[in-house]
Parts: sequence; C-alpha cells; structure tokens
Amino acid sequence: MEESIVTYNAFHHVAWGTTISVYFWLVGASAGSFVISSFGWVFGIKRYKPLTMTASVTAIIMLLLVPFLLTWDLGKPVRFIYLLIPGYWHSTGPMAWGTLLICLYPMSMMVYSYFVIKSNQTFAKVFGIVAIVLALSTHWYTGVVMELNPGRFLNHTALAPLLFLTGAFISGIGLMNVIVWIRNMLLPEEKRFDWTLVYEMAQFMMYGIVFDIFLLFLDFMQTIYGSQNEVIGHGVVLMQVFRFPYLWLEMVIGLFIPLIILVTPLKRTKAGAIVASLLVAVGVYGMRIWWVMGGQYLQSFY
Amino acid sequence: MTMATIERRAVLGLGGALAAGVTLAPGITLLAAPAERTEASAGRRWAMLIDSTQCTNSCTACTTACRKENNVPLFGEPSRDVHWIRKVELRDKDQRRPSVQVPVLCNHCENPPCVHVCPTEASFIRKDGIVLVDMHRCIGCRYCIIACPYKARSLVYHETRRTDESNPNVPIRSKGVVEKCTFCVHRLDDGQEPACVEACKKEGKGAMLFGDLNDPRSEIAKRVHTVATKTIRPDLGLKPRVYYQGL
Repeated sequence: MEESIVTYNAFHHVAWGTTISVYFWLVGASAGSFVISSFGWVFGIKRYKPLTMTASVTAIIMLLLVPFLLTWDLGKPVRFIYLLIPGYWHSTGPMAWGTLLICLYPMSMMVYSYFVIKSNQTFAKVFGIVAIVLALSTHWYTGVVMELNPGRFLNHTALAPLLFLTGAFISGIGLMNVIVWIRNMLLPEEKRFDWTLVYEMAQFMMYGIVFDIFLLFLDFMQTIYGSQNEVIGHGVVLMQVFRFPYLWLEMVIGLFIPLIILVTPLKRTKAGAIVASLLVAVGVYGMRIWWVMGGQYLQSFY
Repeated sequence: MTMATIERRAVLGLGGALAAGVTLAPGITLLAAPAERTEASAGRRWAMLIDSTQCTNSCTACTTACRKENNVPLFGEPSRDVHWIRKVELRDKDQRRPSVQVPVLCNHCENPPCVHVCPTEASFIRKDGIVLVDMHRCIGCRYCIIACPYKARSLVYHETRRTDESNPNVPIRSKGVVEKCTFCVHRLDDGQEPACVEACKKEGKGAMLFGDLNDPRSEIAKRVHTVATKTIRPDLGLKPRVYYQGL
C-alpha cells in the first residue's frame, strides 16, 4: 500500500484543535511558573522568596482556566461530571488520570500558598513538594496523552513527555519574567522585584533552551531515519503544512533567537532578558500547535 | 447521656446512612452495567473479509446501505460528515497493476486502542469482538478518534433529527457523541448480516463476506485460512477483524 497513490471520498476534521493546544500551553506555563514559586520555600533559595506568591498566583490562574477550556471543548460539556464519578472512571484511560491531576494540582498549590502566607516553613515545604510532583505530573500527562497513539507517528515517541516538560520549564520562566517586567513597570520603586532575579531566571531558561534543542534534534534524527510515514511526517507535515508553528514559531522565534540573545552580553540588559523571555513563552505555543494538530494532519485525509 | 441525645444521634446516623445510600446507589448500578452488556453472542468472533478485486470504483452500494440502515448523518461539510464506511482507491505508482478499491470501516480490533483510552468506558468490546460506543456514557472528548489508526470514528458535530426515511430500529445519535460502525449489531442479534454485506451481495459483487471466525465451517473462516489476506497496519498489533484480499 505504501507504493500506491491514494484517492479518497471522505475527509476528517482534526479531532483536537486550537483549544487543546492552548490547554497544553497553559498547563505547561503553570507548571513552569510553579517551579519558580517553589525555589524560595521548597529549595531554600531565599532570594526567590519575594517571587513566591506572584509565581504561585500566576500558576493557579493559568490552571484554573483549564477546566473551562476542556469542558467547553467536549462534545457533551455537561457530561464532564462523568469524569469525576467512580462508576464512569476508566483506569486504562490516560484522560481519567489526567482529570484527577487537574483537580489535585491547583488544590495543592492553594494549600501551599496558604502556608506561605502564614509563613509556615514546614508545611509550605511539604505541600510545595506535593504541588511540584503534581505540577510535573500534570504536564507530563499531556505528553503521555499524545504519545500513547501508535498510529500517530509524529506523536508516538517516548521523548514526548520530556519535550513537554522542557517546554513547560522554559515557557513558565519566560512568562514569569514578563510578569515581573510588567509588575515592575506598574509599581513604585520600593515594591519592585530585583532585576538580578530576572537575569538569573533567563540564565536557567537558556539551559532549558539548549536541552530543548537537543531533544528536538533527537526527535529529528529518529524521524528522518524512521519509517516512510515518519519521513513524510517530517518532510510534508512539519516542513510544509506546519512550517510556521514548527520552523518559525518554535525553532527560530522560540529557541534560536532567544538563545542568541542569552549567550551574548544582551542577556544582562533588561530589554534582552525580557525579549528573550517573551519570545520563548510565545514560541513554545508553536510546539503545542504542531504537536497536537500535526500528528493528526495526515490522517485527516482518506 | 440522655435519651434525647441518643435519639438525636440515631436520627442523624440514619439520615447520614440514607444520604450515603442515595449517593452511592447510582454508582453501584453503573459499576454493574458493563458486566451485563458483555454477554451478547459470546463464543463468536465476528469478522469481515473484503475482496478488493471484486469491488468496483463506481459502486457505492455498501456506503449507501450503511448510511440508510444506521441513520448516518450527512451535514454537507466534507470534513465533518459522519462516515461509518468509506471507500479509498489505491493506484499503483508505476501503473503496473490496476487500481483497487478499499472500503474502510471500524476494524473491530481484538486489542482496540479506542477502548483502552476512553476515560468513561463509553467504548467497550463485546464478547463476540464487536467494538461499540455507549452513547449515554460518551462525553465527546474525542480521544478515541485520536487513538484509532483507521480513522473509523466520527464526532456528531450537529444535531440530527429522525425523519420519515430514518430506520426506526437504530436510534438517532445526539450532537457531541462519537459514533462508528457497529457491524450492524442490531441485525446480527436478529440473525441477519450487516447492511453493507447484504447490499454488496444484492449488487452481485460478492466483494464482502461476513461471518464467525470461531466457526471452522463458516465461509469466512475457510477463506481467511486458505486465501492470502491482509489487514491494515498489522504492525500496530491491534488484531483487526477486517481482512482484505487482493491488496
């Protein structure tokens, strides 16, 4: 069949579209922001403590948008409740587990934030650790949801969760830096965050970018030395149909331009750090687009 | 401890037990439901064999019969129309072989990924190997569509209504659920063949054969064991139950 030309009389709509891409971006940015929030109270890096609540509130808000998006995207929105009823819960369905994570993660962040407000170091650390595990699991799960589809060759790779987590880490930091910048612009001098934190977070982001490029290179190698489907998937789907989100938005805008900024003296300028952060936060959305829709693209025909 | 306190406690306890009972009872019923629905035609293994050399380009008997029998809706939007069976034409790149027609439908896999990933157990497999969707449990998350390598499932994007031409034996599906080929399970349970197979026979093509693989005397069991057949994407290990001859 591979040596044949296919003509067909049926088309298929992409089952998961923009809403799911936005959901993946939100969960990732939330997880990344929460990691920043935990630096001060969980990992004991005291100079990050002033950032804790800003990062935590950002992470909570991003995640609280998720249930609305997902419910709205269901064919039967009112039936979202089935996901929470034991008689309907299906243990082999990754989405059933994902529902639990999406419920538990914001709750744990709220409990953590409560103990941070109460300055209870012990409980803040305990619930911070719980929340970090849940943050990573919630975003790891989004990669797993896409990965567990052997028929979708662009998605079916064990690198998926790692790519998602790395994207979460860098987009979360990028988003936090942009929020710090906006906050510093709006507040008086004495309430502003220290800019050195932004430079330091940009440095963390640079390590994440390098690791992300490495993972994408591994994925690229597997694809071009892979099956005919994988070769077509890369050559046609990614380099032609999804060229903008894959090549331009993710690679050029989201990874290479920020990397160039962050390996030059520009990284020590406010403009350099903020532009790099903004580009990374936007660029990761490109990855979410091609990852969700690119995998389905070839299968939208015949 | 006074009598009044005991009575109050007893009343509170009874109230709590009643509340717990009311809350848990539907869950217990729902938990029992999947076990009841797996009994149909146990011991059989329904399968289909499609001889693509006998299937012609111009014939749409199977797709038309399926649409009519199962009230499969057409919305006039090519990417959102529902298809339970569709025809694909394969042409040899070098034109050394004639083109072949491949009707594609749910492969009723023995190891169905759609069933595994469904978060509410709406997709399930009967004892006889037929993969079905419980429309009352489906939430329309579409994960099964993503998981199916045969693109055999469709979401009902718009509301559909019963008309005078609708088949009263098959329910109309509401907007927002996922549907797919059922191997005409309502006909099978009445001892009939799927509508597409019957239509193909009526056309005199004989391209479609349906039967029980577990019955060694059945025509399909003999053909699958004696004729060179293929399944689509056997590499995925799903053990599909739609076989193709002449591919």
